[in-house]
Amino acid sequence: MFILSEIRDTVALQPHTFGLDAAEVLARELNKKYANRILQDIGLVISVFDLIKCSEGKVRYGDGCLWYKVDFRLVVFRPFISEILNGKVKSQDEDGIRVSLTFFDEVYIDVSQLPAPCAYDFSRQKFFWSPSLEEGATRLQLMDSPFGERLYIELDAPIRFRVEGDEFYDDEPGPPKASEGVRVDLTREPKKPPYRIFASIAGQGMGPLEWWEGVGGVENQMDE
Amino acid sequence: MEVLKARSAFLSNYEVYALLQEMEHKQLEQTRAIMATKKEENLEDQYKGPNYVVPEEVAENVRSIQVELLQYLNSDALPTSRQSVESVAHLTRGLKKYGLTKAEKLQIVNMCPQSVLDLYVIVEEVETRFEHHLDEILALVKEKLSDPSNSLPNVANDDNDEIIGEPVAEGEEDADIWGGEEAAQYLEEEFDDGGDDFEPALELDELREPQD
Repeated sequence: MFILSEIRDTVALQPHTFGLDAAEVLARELNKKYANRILQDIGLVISVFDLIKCSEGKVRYGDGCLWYKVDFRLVVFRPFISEILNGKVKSQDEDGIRVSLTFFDEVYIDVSQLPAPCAYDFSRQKFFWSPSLEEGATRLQLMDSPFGERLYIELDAPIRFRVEGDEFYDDEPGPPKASEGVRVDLTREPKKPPYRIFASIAGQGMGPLEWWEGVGGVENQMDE
Repeated sequence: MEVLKARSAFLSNYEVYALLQEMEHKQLEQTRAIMATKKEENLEDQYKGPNYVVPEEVAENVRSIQVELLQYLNSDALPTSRQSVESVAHLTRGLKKYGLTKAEKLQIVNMCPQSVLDLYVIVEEVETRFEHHLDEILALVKEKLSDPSNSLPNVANDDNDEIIGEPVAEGEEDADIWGGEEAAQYLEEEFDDGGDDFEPALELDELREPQD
């Protein structure tokens, strides 16, 4: 779930902090810059873990700051592929389910990654899974099944999922080109989050935790 | 900014939890200092001397990720708040002999599986690989985990101060546990499979393949 990443950066300390412990102020400045930010291809930064090494502070022409070159380690949220995590159902629509980890909300479970057979119930706006039906069941069969046999995915329910992949998206627009002039884009595309995780809840023991409560002797179930 | 190593090591949830708690302790102290100075300033508006530094408040982004992450790790679904340095070390040492992969061990430490089903989700082909050891592993996981019904961790057992809401006074000790070399050793102990080189950047296929 969490990893350490080694980063090098240059930090300027304001003169009013010169009397304090430099390491502490550096860590604070780095936290201010990186915490709760997403670094492309690295992940969501939680905080500074420690400082590895640090140069002498240098004064540059033009300002009164001390500039330090620091090597440090960051605690980063970046689950690996096939890692199992717990979260809560944040929302769902016919395309899939969105899961929240409190501190990170961009976890998506696609329809194809739900346990089969399942269907989206429009009247309740929830997905349900019918373990009693066979895997190839049609939507009609699913919707005809008695309510007692459907297992619904409730909102805010604790859910266990497997990480299937992730994607970074750099939203930074390049510098404007002189030939194009300034264009105002009226066709607003839906914004892509900078870091997304794709997950799956298909398989034994996955999905809402309440589905599996009390399932202790799983041996016979797993043979299926 | 320059990335030296995108993945230099894996961290267990507990390590992150302890780090955040230590940060919170420190911030609480600082906030108290700020409140105290503010009070003083109200009483007498006087010059504090050339070396006086107005303490800075905690940045908003730092605070928000900290609160949200602690909230997540404190939730009942995760065992993190019931773990201690001792219990994690004990568990990793105990798991050594089963030939689990690093990723599997890390997940067992993070999730503390309570049933065979939980273990089945985390460990691939657990049935065939650990047929006779399933109960052993589950017992090992439970061994040092403090009781969920008992909201406070067993103070006599673990000398670190993971009690939520406990005053700041013990923050020093916490810093010792996680400071400097000891932290590095601890990491090594946790994920090293016995080799001397600590090379935690796992490739993806390595994660999937059980190493026997």
